[in-house]
Amino acid sequence: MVKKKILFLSFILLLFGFATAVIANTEFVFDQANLFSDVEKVELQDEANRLSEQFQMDIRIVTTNDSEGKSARQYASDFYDQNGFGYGETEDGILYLIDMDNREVYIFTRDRIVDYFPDTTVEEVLDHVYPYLTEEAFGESAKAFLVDLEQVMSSGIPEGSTSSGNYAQSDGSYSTSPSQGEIVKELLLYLGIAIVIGGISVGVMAMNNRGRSSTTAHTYLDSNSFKVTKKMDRHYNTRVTRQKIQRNSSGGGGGSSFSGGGGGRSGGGGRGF
Amino acid sequence: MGVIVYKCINCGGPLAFKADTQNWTCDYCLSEFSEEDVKKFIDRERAEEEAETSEQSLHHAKELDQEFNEKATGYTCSSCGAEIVTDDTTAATFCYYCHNPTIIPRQLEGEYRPEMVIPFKIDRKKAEETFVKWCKSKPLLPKFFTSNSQLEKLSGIYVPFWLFDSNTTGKIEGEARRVRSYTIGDTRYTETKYYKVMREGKAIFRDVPADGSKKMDDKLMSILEPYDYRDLTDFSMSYLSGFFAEKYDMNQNDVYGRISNILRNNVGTLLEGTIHGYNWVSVQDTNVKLSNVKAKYVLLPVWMFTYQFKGKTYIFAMNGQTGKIAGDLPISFGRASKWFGMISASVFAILSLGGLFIW
Repeated sequence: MVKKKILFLSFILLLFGFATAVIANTEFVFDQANLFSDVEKVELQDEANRLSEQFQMDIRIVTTNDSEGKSARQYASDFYDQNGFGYGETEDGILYLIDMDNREVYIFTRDRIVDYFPDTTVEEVLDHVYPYLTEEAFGESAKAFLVDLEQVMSSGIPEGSTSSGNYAQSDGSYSTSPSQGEIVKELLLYLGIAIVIGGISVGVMAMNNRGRSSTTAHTYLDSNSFKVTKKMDRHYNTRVTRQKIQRNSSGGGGGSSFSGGGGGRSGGGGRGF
Repeated sequence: MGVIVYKCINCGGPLAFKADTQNWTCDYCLSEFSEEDVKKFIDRERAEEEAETSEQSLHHAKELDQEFNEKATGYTCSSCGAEIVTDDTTAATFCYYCHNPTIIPRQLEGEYRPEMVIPFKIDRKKAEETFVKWCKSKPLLPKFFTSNSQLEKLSGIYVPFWLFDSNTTGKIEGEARRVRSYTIGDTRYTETKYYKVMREGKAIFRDVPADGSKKMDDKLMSILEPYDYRDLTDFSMSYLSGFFAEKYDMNQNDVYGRISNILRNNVGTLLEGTIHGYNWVSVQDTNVKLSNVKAKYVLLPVWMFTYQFKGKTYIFAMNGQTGKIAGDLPISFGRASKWFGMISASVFAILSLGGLFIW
């Protein structure tokens, strides 16, 4: 009994340890264009780290001098996918790009976060960060972005967002949601699974509560005496069924959401400066 | 009527076969005797017996004697002279009065003479220890079963078994399906291929056991299997001394049905195991023929336990050679619910923690 308890506790500790280790090593700021001061970089890194854990989402701040000929939107999307960003096993996250090549700022959202940032919200955030950019106060703009991000995420998914309440991703997996109903539903599901596993375990114990037969077809078989003398496998029919795959059409902020290379839903918006 | 009590050559006390030392020990003077010594004793006894029978035939009392032989179930103890009361099938027992181990040779004569025997390997003490250990490993057993319940009876019995050798040929026929799915564009295709499958094969089985005693529960006995046949030795009555023994009351034809069922299932299972590469197999027809069937009569060692617990009687059997146990233990509802609650709660905790904070 004691052994089992220790095993269970260490399993839980291991899970937590693993999760925190992953987050602690994450680099949130990619200042490739050297727009931030060292102090700003540390501040942004700490703040992004904090918000990332608080809202269970990925937050990246990227600057570049060379967009490789792509639009700001495409560069943001590719950067997100190529680096495999996302929180935990999901792709949930947001990327704030200052593209000095195109002189454009872009806010890129992925999966669950798309629902928090419909077009109107993106425009509002851009309104806030835009004045800093025109004054070349890039660090301040990124800080303003994080302040807005915290506000937007805290106030939840705005009403009227096209796919609110539906977090099913195109690959069919289900991401955790912050809404109460979803949590209750999941807990009920877990309870069901727990009861079934408990029942099966006790059932197995009950089966073992007696002597059990241990002879098999091989017990009294004279060794090597079994031979197959004739065999036949005749194929006589084939049936094929077809089924249309339901692909989730892009659901994020209206016209600005597009499907990225990673397969998940993406959204966002940008503005030149 | 003649009964045999093996007696110590040194002091005349009764001799019993000891499972731990695999020889015969006198409990009174502690003399030990090997198989050879006991054989000498048997030969002498046999010579005396033959002398007796020839005497009887001289007196022309053969007819009377036969009638007596058929009906009598009472024998006289050769040690104390008391009457030994047994039933029809008992071949070895103890005298009720002086408790000397007694063997009734008539029950082991002619067609009732076993070809071979596996002597007891586990003695009374070890049998009890093994049983208590087994009970302790059961998580749902009421905690006080082994301490509070009463071990009513514990007896070592040589149980009559038939061991069958048989050649078999079998044929199974059935349906099988292979399923594969693939995606082209937005459409998922599921292709199911249907097959008729057939397998024919042959196999030889050796020493498939079936107990030949109506008193013994067939299911209980079959759970005791397998016995290790390497310990089979030529039958000698001396191994029965100190244990109970039964003679068969179901002959090989009576148990043949059980054997043929077992073999049918075994051959079917073996053939089914040769059908590979399908997602789904259903055998519709199994046909097994037995040939060259031979049976031999042996005695195999079994410890029988009777436990009294909360007014109910529980019967267990233990393989007297390997210690394997058969029988149903009582289930404690309290312990079952405790385990259920503990496992369910742990699983729920892991899933909830994982589900809410990590995934």
